[in-house]
Amino acid sequence: MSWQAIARKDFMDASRSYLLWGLTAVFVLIVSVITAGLGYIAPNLTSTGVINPLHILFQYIIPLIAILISFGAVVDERTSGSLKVLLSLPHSRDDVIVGKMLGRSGAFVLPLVVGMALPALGMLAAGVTFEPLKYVGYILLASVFGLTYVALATGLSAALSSRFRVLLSLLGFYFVFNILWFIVNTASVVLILALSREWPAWMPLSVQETRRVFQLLSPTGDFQLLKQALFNDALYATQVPEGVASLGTQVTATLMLLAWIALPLAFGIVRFRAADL
Amino acid sequence: MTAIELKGLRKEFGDVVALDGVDLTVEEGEVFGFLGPNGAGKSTTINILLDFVRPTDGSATVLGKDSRAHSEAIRSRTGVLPEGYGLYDRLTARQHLEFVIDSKEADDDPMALLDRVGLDAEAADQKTGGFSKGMQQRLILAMALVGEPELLILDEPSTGLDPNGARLMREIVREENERGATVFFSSHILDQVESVCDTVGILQDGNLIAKDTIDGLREASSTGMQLVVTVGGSQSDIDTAVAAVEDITGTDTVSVEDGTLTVTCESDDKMTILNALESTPATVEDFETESASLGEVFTSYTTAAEVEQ
Repeated sequence: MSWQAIARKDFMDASRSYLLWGLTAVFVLIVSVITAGLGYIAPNLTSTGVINPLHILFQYIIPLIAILISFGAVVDERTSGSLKVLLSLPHSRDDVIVGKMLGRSGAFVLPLVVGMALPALGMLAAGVTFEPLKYVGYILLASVFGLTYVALATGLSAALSSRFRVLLSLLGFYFVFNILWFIVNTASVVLILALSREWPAWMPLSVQETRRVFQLLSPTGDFQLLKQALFNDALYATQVPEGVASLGTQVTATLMLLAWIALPLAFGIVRFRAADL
Repeated sequence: MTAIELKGLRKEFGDVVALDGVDLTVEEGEVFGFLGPNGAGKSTTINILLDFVRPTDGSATVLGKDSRAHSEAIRSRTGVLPEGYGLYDRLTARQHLEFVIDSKEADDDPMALLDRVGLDAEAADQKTGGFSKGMQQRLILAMALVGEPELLILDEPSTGLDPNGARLMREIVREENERGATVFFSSHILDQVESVCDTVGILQDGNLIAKDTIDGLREASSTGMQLVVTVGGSQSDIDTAVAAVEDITGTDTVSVEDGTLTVTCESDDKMTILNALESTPATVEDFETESASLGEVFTSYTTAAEVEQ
């Protein structure tokens, strides 16, 4: 099993870098500081009450951390020449990408899980009301969300031959889909309403539906939508409370996240197969 | 059976033609020296054998299999020292070997391999980020030896090695060949090739301009010998002497150092040259002849090819 050897080596390589340990420390620090701060202000703190503000922060930093960990996955080996060592061995180019994706996924998920687990122990010790299902569920959702960016970074890292272009494309994607997207989403609806005074009849979808579609297209939107369902005890439930996405929409959001993992990898694989190294 | 077979191999990078229709056969069990100046296309050829780059036209067959369609199968039976490689700075020498052993599903002992290339137990557990070029080269050679490969492809293996390292490398090439491995290695350092190779191919500007045994090449080459003449006289006398010799042997065949002319010529011309020198103001004090080393054969081939173009 060729890709397993690569994944093992890649994770071993990553775990010897200060980056991984630094990130674990950052996660632990962020969660601990927020917990301690909230515990100081709010007397009846619950673990879910900690995650709510944390979630706003995570939407922005998880993609950046995933990019930081993964963008060099293939392109750095290409630049340093270690790719020639790797591909002198009986590994296919597809094995390299799959192995790298797994190695970097481990390097991303491990600090996240440790970073969330240590403060959880602290919360339990301090007697904070702990909701384990929501807490663990949130770690899972955040992991999948982060993995979309790990896949995007790994895919582009294989598809492009310069480190600079990989990073530039990734930050461009981050900016458009993670920051600009919600502004565009809201602004376009507001603009259409302002211009035509009412939602035009020729639009195939209602205002709410249009905003939903916009939200579904962005990984951050999918993450937000599923997190909201989870925290309303309605994740994958047939009956949902007012304002929470329906089961069909939740499933679509899940599939969209998986598509954001699969498509960049497929793009990377196709481009990398054809490349002269 | 043939270990490597290239047929009409052509590779273009944009407007640049790196390989211009190369045909080459390397027999199984041979030590084949792939010679040529830098930029001749040696590494491009090797990169095609390993499927790092794809030919524009023609085909390459390695160990009886197409280099593109069966690359993994080929690489599982081949040990490689690639050109322009990099190691994983954060991993130790032992971890590098363990990864190769793991990847090739071999059962070598990493320490035995390190010992073979002259790296000690201390170096084994050191991260390769701190390795000198010579140590890196020894490690990558050890990695190429994992799993007793049928074919060794070594691209400029002596790069960065001190004379002891280069000697060790040649010894290992011989040992591997005695074990039954075919060895294909490229070099622009000719002395290395001369002492270990059965057959040599010379590549120039993307064309294979010669392929023969070392002795065969020496015979076939018009460069039969070198004439070393010690002359006396003033600088202008010596200049006149050089001009007289070049009238016979052509330009760039004479080098001068401290009143000693070294002339690359065919043996038939020896007397003509000495007679011509006698008729100049310079005096011939002594002369001797040397048969050409592969170095001169190589120079003779590559410069002759340049003149033809």
